[in-house]
Amino acid sequence: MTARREIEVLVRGLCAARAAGDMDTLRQGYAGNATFRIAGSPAGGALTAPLTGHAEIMARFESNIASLPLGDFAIVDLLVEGNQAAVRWRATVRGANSKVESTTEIAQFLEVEDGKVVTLVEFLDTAFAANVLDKAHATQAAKTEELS
Amino acid sequence: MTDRGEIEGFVKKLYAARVDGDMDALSGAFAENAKFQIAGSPEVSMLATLAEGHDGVMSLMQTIADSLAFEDFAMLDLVIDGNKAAVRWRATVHQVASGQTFTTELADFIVIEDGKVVSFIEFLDTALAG
Repeated sequence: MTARREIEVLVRGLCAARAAGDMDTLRQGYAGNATFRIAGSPAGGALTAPLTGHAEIMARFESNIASLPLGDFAIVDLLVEGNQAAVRWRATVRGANSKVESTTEIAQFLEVEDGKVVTLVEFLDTAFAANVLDKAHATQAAKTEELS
Repeated sequence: MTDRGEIEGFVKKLYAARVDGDMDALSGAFAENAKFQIAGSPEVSMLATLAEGHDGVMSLMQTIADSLAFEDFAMLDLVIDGNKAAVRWRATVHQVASGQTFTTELADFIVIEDGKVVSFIEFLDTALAG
């Protein structure tokens, strides 16, 4: 059982690490058997595909951090009860390969065991995410074509 | 209302009313100064919206009740902390106009004061919803 204060500190730290691209903190905060899912239709493809295990989740975080840098991060709401937490946070998203920049809000439901996250379910603006990712990929493709 | 049991009971009745489209029960659950927001970027999601005040919220609730029917509702997570509740839920949604049916998952962050909702922020699959 993890104490309330400990869960609060863990969740705040992980949200901040995600925004700052701090992979060391992210690696330490998730259990080996953790699961991560962005809530959404399977039609969302890789965006909404469930991930299982520390390695898969860290690979996704690394990819997101590289392609979608976050700024102006702020936790808007944090609820903790038992070993569960629900957090709502806001950040500015900028496509790494484009000039697209917008503010978006994310909600997360987490379960914590022995001081580490074992389950993360995330809600984000899937239409916005698909839009930003499409533009980032299009810009990257144009740059690749220029170089070839 | 800050007792956990009271909040849980209130939230469960609120969702029963929402699923049933019970406008009288919903009207009694929202405060005069309530706000209801569907999180998202208005540029890419037509559902992203903010309704403020009891009349505005009820108008939105009526639009939702007229447009969508909910079946197989299930509350997956309920996190209560003081006068706040976070709910993760799943339902099969039937779009009245198109006849389309899909199962989806939503998350709500609710603030309750004096036995009524003052803030209700909903996250849904905006790509699916259109």
